[in-house]
Amino acid sequence: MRRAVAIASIWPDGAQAACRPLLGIPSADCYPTYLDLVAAIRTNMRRDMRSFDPIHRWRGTAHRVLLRNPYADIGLTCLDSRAAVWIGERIYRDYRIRCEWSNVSGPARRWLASIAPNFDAAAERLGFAPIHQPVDQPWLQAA
Amino acid sequence: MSRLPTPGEWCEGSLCRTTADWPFHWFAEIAAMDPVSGSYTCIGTVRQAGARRYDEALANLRLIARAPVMLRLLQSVAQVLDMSDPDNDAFADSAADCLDELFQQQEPLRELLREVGLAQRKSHVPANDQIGDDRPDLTGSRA
Repeated sequence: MRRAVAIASIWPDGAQAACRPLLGIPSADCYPTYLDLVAAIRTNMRRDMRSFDPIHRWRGTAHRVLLRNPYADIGLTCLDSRAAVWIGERIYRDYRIRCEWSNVSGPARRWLASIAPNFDAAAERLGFAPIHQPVDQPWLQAA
Repeated sequence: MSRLPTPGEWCEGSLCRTTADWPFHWFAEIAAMDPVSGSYTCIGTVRQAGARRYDEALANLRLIARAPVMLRLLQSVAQVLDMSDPDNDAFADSAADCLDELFQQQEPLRELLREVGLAQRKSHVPANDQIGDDRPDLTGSRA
């Protein structure tokens, strides 16, 4: 059974995430370290999930989207001395319009559930600890 | 209400065109890397008229991205002026001390002038250039 970890969320709502601390990095090395992290995520995630293509977008001001496939985004959020790599359903405007005209969201969520172990494994190889969030809605867990 | 700018070092992304044909605008993203809070966030997108020459638009962009450095330098100069003012609490009755304070800012000042100068320099690695060989996206859309 998955253990719920109480941790302040820095990743987008509804996304599956893995975290690691960003501590002890000298100021001068912050930007190169960040660029290395971005490159490592793009390379390693694509190795396991080949449907993703590199992209550069932002969700709000904190969540940077690094990879995208027809269903989902993989991104990186660096806040409060922590880095979180996350995977979540696409949310941008054109995708939402597609969801209104056809049932895209259902298959996307099923696909995300099926790919979750692969994401966790890829994140662990990058040094991120997977976060298993408690289920807020008991009826959802029961279902 | 806070009037402070976004904390951290600002870095500009690649200067891109909104469309491949005329009329177009130059746009580029500015992000903030804050080593203190360990965060990397998007500040926003700078959009300039396509009628501007590329090098001019690039110089404008670099000036905007160096705003926090300029602010720190201005604060330092204001501090030296305070030290030179007999009516100010910070007055230091020593021209050498004032000059010493100014000289402490010499290196960042010259670095700033070098960065925004007209001379060719190696570009700062932009955040959105890590995609590899893919051509830059011209849409400029978010999320």
